[in-house]
Amino acid sequence: MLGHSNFEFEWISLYKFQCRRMEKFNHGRVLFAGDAAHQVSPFGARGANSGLEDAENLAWKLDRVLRGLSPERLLESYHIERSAAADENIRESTRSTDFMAPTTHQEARLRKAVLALAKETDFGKRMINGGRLSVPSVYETPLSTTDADAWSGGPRPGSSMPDAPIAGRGCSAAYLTEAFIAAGTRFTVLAFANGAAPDVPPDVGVISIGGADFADPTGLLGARYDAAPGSAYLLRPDGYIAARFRHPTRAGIEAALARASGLN
Amino acid sequence: MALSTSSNFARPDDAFRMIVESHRGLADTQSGDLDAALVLILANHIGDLDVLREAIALAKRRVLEADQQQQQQQ
Repeated sequence: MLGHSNFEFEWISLYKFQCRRMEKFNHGRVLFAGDAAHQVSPFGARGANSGLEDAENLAWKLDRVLRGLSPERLLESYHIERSAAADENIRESTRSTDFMAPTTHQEARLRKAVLALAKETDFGKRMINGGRLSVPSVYETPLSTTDADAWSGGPRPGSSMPDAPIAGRGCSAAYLTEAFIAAGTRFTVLAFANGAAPDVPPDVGVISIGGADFADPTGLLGARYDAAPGSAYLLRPDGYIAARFRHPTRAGIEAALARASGLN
Repeated sequence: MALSTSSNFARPDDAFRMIVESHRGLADTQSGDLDAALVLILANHIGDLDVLREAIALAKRRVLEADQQQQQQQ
């Protein structure tokens, strides 16, 4: 494995870990997150990442509930979204664990075959599972508004917002996520300009691409969002897509906002 | 795409023979290793999870359950 055998063991010990999660992350006024709610094997950097994602998911909901803007049941979506993410993390990291520590003779034999084939095949290389890096989960969640328009790409509601370079006019943001943070990390409409700015409710941020605010110099942003003039995405405060519209209306945005806030 | 179980080789004996001969002279463990590699190579070539799932189900049904039935009859 190291290319030579000229080494001595200095220290060897057993490292134990568990893959499991709580059945419910919410218990009345006590909310569980991170390692308290779920534990995974270390493969894929999923432990710390999912802890941060839990916090990101919970913070804005808790804030809205504490300020009386959303009913307490909004917190139920924290359990729905993050327990599914925990299941995904456990499944992925268990696969990595099994690849590295096969539990049966045949499993070891299949791994040996993968490693042997990897020397000269692309498919063999891609089957080597030394840990798959964590990517944001896609949520099946009651906070999402189902697409009413036709889309041939772009992030569907429940997905994390893809990033892309932007060019600000009189603003230093170089990436969409920076503009999102500059807009207040709140419910924000990402609008691809088509004449007049979209009519959005108060307290909702706007990032307008191709209009007065930002340009899409590489075209990557438009491509990643399957954008056409007038297309708009409603982003949640955690950077997830709540809804998207080919022709946004004030009523449509308000309905999606209410849904994403747990108000209906 | 569904698993094809009609005869796909013009000369099925040649195909069977080729597989048999690939195991000639190998110890059981080497044969097992060879089979494992062949399964992975051919599964990737097919590249379709539904077909793979059907193939696994067929193999299990015919080999494992047939074994059990034989044991019950004895």
